[in-house]
Amino acid sequence: MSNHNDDAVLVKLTLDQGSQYFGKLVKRYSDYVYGLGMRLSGGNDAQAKDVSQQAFIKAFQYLGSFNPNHKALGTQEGTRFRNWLTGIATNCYADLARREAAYLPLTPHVEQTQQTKGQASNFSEFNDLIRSLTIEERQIVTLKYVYEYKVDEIAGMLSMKAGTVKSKMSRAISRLREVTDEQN
Amino acid sequence: MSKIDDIFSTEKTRNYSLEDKDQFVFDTLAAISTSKTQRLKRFVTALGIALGVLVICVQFILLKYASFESIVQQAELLMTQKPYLLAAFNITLIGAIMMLRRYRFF
Repeated sequence: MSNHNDDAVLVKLTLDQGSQYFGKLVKRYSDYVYGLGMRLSGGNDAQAKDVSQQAFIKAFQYLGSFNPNHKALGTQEGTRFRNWLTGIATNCYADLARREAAYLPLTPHVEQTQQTKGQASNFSEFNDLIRSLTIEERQIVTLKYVYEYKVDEIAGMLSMKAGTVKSKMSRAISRLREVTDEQN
Repeated sequence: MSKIDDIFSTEKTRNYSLEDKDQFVFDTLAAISTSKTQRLKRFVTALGIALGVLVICVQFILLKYASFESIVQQAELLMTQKPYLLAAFNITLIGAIMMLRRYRFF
């Protein structure tokens, strides 16, 4: 029998009784979504926090559409809400990155300075590497190689065909190889 | 193992955590609450505009196709013969406005 702390139970309680139960879900997954935001944004702390907050706001808004029995959310019962949230956060990142790019064109040097300023502990080779990719390539590479989602699951999250995901992934990996070769 | 695979496997083991999680939860719930209020405000505004447009259209049709004098006569007749209907309408209107204000819809 499901206990009071199950994601699906908390979702139902939120829908029935109000947002106080959603706070538990936010607390449970805040680090996870923040980590995803950090990886997608290439270590940009402010952008990662924005992505996290937007993802939870969207999740709350569309909570009624969350179906814990949906096959596309994976076979493991405990990870379905997390998978659903991952899809939302990944799309929130894309929206945010496109919006920011439209009015704030930064040179690579300025972007890099902004991303690493005051957060030396957040520096990782992955973040450094992923900045050479486009928004969609960042999403695909992060979900596939760090979070180990299957191609079909990524395609579902990003509303793409599996073939498109594969071709973009292959292009992204080639680019990453070029970047690492240049660095060496 | 290539350099990229090495970077990916290192990243998998890396954990990120928010500096002040409680503050983040509070801010997020506050933002959710604000967005709910804004959605409600937008809905009420849209409803108000729609009602306004409807009233203008009804008035236009009445003024164009109906005799204004006869409408006034009908209204007079209603007021003199069934004053309680007018009173009930006014009380309902005031009650509705008070309820809307109570729930901070506008």
